[in-house]
Amino acid sequence: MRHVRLVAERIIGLCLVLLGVSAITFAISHLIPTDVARMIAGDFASEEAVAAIREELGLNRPIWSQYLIYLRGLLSGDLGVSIQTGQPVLGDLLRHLPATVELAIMALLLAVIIGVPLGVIAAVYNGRWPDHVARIFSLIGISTPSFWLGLMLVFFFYGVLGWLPAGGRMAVEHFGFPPVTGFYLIDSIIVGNFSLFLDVSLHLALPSLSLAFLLMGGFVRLIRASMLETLREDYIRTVRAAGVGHWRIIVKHALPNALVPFVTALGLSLANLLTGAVVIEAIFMWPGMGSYILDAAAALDFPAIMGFTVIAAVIYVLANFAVDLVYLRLDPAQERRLS
Amino acid sequence: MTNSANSAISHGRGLVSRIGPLMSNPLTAAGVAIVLIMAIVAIFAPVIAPYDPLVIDIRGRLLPPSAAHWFGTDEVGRDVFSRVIYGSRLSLGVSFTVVLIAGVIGAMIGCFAGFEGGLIESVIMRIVDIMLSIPGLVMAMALSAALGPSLENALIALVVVLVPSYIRLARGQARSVKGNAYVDAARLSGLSRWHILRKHVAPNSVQPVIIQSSVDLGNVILVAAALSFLGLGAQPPEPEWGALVGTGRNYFLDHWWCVVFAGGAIVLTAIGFNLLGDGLRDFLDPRHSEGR
Repeated sequence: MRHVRLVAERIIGLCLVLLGVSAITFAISHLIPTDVARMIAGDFASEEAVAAIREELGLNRPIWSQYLIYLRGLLSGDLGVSIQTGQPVLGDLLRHLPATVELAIMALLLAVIIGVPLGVIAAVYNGRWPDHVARIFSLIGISTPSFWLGLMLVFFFYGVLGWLPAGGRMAVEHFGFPPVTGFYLIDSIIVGNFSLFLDVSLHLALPSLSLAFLLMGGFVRLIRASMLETLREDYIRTVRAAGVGHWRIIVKHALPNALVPFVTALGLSLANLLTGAVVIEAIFMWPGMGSYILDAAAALDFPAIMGFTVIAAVIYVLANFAVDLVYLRLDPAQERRLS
Repeated sequence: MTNSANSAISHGRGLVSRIGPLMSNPLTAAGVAIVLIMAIVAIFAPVIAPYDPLVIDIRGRLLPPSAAHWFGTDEVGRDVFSRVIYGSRLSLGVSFTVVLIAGVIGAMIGCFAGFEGGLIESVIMRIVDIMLSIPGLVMAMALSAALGPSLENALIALVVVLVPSYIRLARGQARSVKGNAYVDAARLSGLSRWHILRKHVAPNSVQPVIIQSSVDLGNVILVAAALSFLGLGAQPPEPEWGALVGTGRNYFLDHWWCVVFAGGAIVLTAIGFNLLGDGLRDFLDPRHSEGR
């Protein structure tokens, strides 16, 4: 366990980063030109009522004291109370979390299932037509705004063909079914309702495909580059000389090594998934964190916006930490890179 | 001093003589062509656009594409073609402005941090780490919401989001440049630290920033459009492409032309920038070449 020290150092660094994030969100929320107390009280509230709210929120205190109060709240999981819903922000976000996570996981799966083989094929047929097709595909992937792609998919699969629903997580006739985990795919299996499962899957199809497309282009490029590099290695030539079959070499010997840098990309793509979800949820009326935060942004609900920013940073930082740990297992020679 | 000046000159000369090979890659040439066409469209928008992009004609609302209105008309009868043409000004303008400002600020802070070292560098880099741990669009959303939704504020938010990555790049390069013999020579010849930083370290540290910013041009177009689409950037009736798609979205199932053309313009421009960025990167930094 010589890595214990390294991991401990990383955890300390992680805490410092999160402390900094809290300072930034605090600073941003004090940038706002709006009078928050006035907003909560409403336009017709008396001066006394506004003053009372200001007192209650601690807005009269010195700025450092406000920050300490904010920080103490954060540490105990208190992200403040949403102006819009009147509920604690953390609870609101957690309620919306399963919808977003379900969407993100499906998108990630699709992106990997399509992107990785395409990248491998592009590298194997380097310079020939499958390579060109894959590269054009990835170029379009990284150049297409996900909100537009989502709308185009809705236009064709809902508007023209009528095959798939345009939005929401399930059809109206399934409304009122009591969520167990909040992950509807799992929930429908738990309650053994096959038609619900099918309905939920159909509703997931377009949003997850739009979101997946956002990642796919990057995945194809990365896998292709990493595969090309691996295929040039000496050990591949050795295996080939030993008479191992072409595709066997690629899948068994080259791909596992080419996937190592991909692990880091997965961690980084989490940021894309999170932010991409905001846009995609807006299009598909998907009741996740993205929709919640957009409503909050439209209503200038700062506790909610800042709460989401903190949570997004926490998820992102933790995911990259986890990726580093996996990396360390996969490739111990990278130890120096991390320290 | 002359040493680095010479190397800068020869570097510049090499750059010009290597433009040919850059353009010999058909993909890069295509990217350059797309970006040039878009730039021309943006510059000559008033000449090209057949209508005023803001003039409303309620009787001619939501008309399909025709000879009079190539891209149809929108929900209040404005000519979509003219709006997309004028939109190129906003989208290209935002992208170039953001990348330029962020690149200059990031390069300056990064060079300074890498050159100074010590406590200043650690503090700056810790702040950079913190900024980079907040996903870009989330940060941009929070900032533009806090500053008040407008195109200018979205621009500021995007600069803030981009700067940290440039600081990191420039700082890394400045650190390695600092170790070169000519910097030691300059120091020994009694030149001031400020002079060395400005004349010797900075010019040789900006290459990674230039490469990255050329790649970022395409990304910024997409993120800026997304912000406007979400209502956090350009506000209607400004003909920004993302905002056009955002408004057109309410009508697009029956009136596809409201979103198709504006979105297509975004895709085309982003493809142009991405091809150009890849070409520049392979050309300036052959280590990243994708094995062509």
